[in-house]
Amino acid sequence: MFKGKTAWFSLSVEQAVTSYWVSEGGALSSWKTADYLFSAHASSEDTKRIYESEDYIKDRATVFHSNFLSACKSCQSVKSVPIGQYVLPPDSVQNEIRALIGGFIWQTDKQVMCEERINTEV
Amino acid sequence: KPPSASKPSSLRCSGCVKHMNEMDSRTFGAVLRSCRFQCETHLVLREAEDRFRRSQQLKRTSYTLTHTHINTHDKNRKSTSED
Ligand SMILES: [Zn+2]
Repeated sequence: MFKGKTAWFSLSVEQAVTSYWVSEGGALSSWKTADYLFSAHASSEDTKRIYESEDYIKDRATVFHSNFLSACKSCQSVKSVPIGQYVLPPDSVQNEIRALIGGFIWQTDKQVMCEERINTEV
Repeated sequence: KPPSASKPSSLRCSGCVKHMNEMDSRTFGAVLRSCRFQCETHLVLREAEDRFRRSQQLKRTSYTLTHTHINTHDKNRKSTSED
């Protein structure tokens, strides 16, 4: 499922998620070169380092919540899970957003958002 | 073909519909920016992230201003410590 893709995983991500990535053909890489950056906690030190990096400031290092991969696993497809719904911003940004529009998809109980589901919700 | 392609763009933005093969951590920002319509969630997210980036940049600028004349090797030291 993830063949030809490289990812970096924060230490906050469960080992099972990383293993799933690798078992589906994904490669691991440093946070500076990986195509995808996954973290489970914005407050994790290795993730904060990304938010402070030049790449992030230049908008070239979006961090995604690792629940995205759990959703891919449940949906059995990467094409039915919109990755843009799993953006994991810095804590201060999360607080702002929570105050304005409520929570994030990856915080809700229904962590699985296959496309069929979203279509009916719009 | 994903069913989202035929959906009217007024409902959801590319941040809401594009999947992993269409964008990654490096291109997400550009994809969102190039999208003419942004849903409330992604608009708010982008604005809040931009504010965060600006404050980070300010921090960096003041750091550089106060440190360049003291330590000219600072930049090299910093980039290696990030590895
Ligand atoms: Zn959107």
